Amino acid sequence: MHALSRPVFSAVLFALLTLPGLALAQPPASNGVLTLSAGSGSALTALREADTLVNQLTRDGSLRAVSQDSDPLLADRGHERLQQFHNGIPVFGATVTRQTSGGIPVSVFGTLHVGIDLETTPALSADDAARVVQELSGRTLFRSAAPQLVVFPDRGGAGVYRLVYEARAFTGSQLMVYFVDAATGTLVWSYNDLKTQQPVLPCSRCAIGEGLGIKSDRKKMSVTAVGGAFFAHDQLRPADVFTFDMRGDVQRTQQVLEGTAPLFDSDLATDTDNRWLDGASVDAHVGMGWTHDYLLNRFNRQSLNNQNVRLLSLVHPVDRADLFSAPPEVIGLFFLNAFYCGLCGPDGAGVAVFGEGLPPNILLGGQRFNFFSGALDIVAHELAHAVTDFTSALLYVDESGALNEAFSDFIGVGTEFYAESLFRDGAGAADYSLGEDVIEPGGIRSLATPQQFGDPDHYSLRFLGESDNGGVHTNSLIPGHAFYLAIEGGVNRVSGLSVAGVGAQNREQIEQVFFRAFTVLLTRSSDFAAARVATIQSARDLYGANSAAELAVTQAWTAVGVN
Amino acid sequence: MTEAPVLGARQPRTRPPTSSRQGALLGSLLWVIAGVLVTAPAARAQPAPTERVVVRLDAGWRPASRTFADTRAFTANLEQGQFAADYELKDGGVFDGGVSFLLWRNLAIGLDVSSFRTVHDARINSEVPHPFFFDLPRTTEGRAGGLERREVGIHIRAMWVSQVTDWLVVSVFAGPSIISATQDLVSAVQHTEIAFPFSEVTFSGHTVSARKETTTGLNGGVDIDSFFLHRLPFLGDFEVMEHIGVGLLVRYVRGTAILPVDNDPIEVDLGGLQITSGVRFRF
Repeated sequence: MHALSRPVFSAVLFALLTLPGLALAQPPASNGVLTLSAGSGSALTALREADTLVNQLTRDGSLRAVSQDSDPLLADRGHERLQQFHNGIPVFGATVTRQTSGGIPVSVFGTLHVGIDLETTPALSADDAARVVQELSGRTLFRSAAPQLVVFPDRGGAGVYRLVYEARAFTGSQLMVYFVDAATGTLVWSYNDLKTQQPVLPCSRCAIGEGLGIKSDRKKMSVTAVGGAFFAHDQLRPADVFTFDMRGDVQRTQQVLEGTAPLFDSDLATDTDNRWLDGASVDAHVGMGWTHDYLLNRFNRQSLNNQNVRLLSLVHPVDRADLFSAPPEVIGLFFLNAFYCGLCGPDGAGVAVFGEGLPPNILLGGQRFNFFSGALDIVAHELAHAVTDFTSALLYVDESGALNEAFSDFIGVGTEFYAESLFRDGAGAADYSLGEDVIEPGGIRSLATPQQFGDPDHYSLRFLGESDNGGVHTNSLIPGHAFYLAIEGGVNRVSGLSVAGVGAQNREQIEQVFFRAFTVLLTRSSDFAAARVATIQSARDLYGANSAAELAVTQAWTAVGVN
Repeated sequence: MTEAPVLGARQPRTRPPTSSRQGALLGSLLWVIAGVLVTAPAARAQPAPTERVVVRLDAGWRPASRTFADTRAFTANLEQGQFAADYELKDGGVFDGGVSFLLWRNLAIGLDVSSFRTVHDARINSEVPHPFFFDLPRTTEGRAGGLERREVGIHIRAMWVSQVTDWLVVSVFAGPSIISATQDLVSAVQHTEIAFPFSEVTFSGHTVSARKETTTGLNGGVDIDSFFLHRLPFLGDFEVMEHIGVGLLVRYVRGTAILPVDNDPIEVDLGGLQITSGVRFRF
């Protein structure tokens, strides 16, 4: 390691910040938080200064490259993702992305912490921290998730830093992230990282089966034939797709998610004649395949992690017949929700779980809840959380969390439009609503009319409370509505500002702009303002300055009050 | 890699209706008869041949190529796919022989046997359903080679024989034929999936079924025989040479066969124009 000592690091930073003529894009706040948000639309000096700072911090080891990738769309572009370290310990949420063209910087986004004054020798060992977390969660830690030391900035923004252990544990209904003080063993902060749908996955054994979705619509299923039976394991795509049927056993479902119970081939959804009639399994399996295809064909992304990681889902996590005996958290999570657990599963590479819904005769809020896997946008939404995890890793709280949710909504809607022509038998009409195919009537969110579900369509109406990780499923509609306006155009209800969208026929432009911004430009702590600059930068990268796409994106963000 | 083949119901063909083909056949026959009638007065001025029996042994060529097409359906990836086979018959060799008898004046009757064989290709165009999606077939092209067509015909002919000179005999003829045809048909195709995203598929093979059918048809044409060998100085001493000649026969044969394929027959045209020449023996 080539890290500087604390005083030296601080001195370098401050020296850079105070050099004559070196005016950063955004000066550090009084709490020492420095936000980098410089693109080709920014003043050239700001971009140069940000680039110089990144170079300097990289040379002294304060910033280390986490990933270096060539641009999937623009041949001359490259992308770095860097993590800030203090005395060799990563600083939580402090990441930077830098886009270059032939070595020349194009954009720099991220968050850095200046002037960290913290001793980094822990009093507690990692095992000690693990015990604390096990007590807090009541569960055994993921094997792949041993506590890691991080420098933790105070949530209140007071410029105070703590040396903590970060660890994750699935509690049966939540994927909790714990931050345990490395000196005292006390809990400093925790949040639920379970990405839920709403608040509260050419060979000799391959076969093509015919399945009926929950709407009795015919679908082709890529499956595996073994010993006279057929299993929901797609081996024809570059990334394997697995659909496991938990057969209503909630305890086993939870054990699988915790990593304490293995999944066997016999757990795969199965059929004896390759004419699949379980709509939940059919729609989950096919939906994951189509989401994979959308990511690949639209964005040239190789599955969720761009390295063809397998896609895996669980269906029938509970039995509808157990609704009235199930505890509320099980009802909320396994009946009335769908979620993606990034560290769950036998191999710790993530699992999507699709809720069972409610019995047909039971309505909730006037809505019927069917098997959640029956909605392609929900399937794609959940898998998109994994894309976020593998890219920007947007922190699942507050505005970054809302951006995390919004990105999943973009992918959900985008996949639905992409696959609209692939559906048969009257199913699969695409729209800007989420979950409308299984939560009837209406769905749960609308990017076109957020207020329809009481969600904000303007930044001034954003949710400022603590619940739902700071309103991640509520405030996501602000960028979500901007996404809609940038495509379809229209007038924002609150601001009265009109947006000249690129038009539905150019939908792909906005999808590309947002995908690029959210996967290669944004960082873990990005907020709405950063998302605005990043999407504008992305529009310039892809379609040129003053392009229709840039205009649409700029107007859309302005219309929803994000400047 | 998956195989996606097999048979299914046959699709409608793009062939002219049978009635129009029969009309054409009848037209051809009438053309030959008209030829006989037109040439008969001229022939009548000529003496009738004195020999009553002529035996003919020819070899030659059927120069014309012809095509026929067939479209068949198959099931693959849960959907109906189809392949169209365009059969491109080439020219081929013909052996033709027979005997004729002078009945009365210039009128004779003959019985011939001909044999034709050619080896040809078929161009295969397939639409193969996608493994993941309905109604998104992939198209592919291929060729099926080594297909064989055999035709053995028995031809009865009514002949008007004209002794144009003492060494030249010209006859026009027409009559019914019995044709036994054997045709190799592509009954199934095989394709191989390449790899994701399976937007392309390759033609990897075909299955051939030989089908045989015997049918009736018509034949007509002209036979020009020359018995000049005995006039040659070095052959004139041989009396037998008065009985040996050479000849050229131009025959048009026409027939239609219904070849059975999996209870779904295909109609193919038989015969065609053939030109043969060989030796003649008259008694």
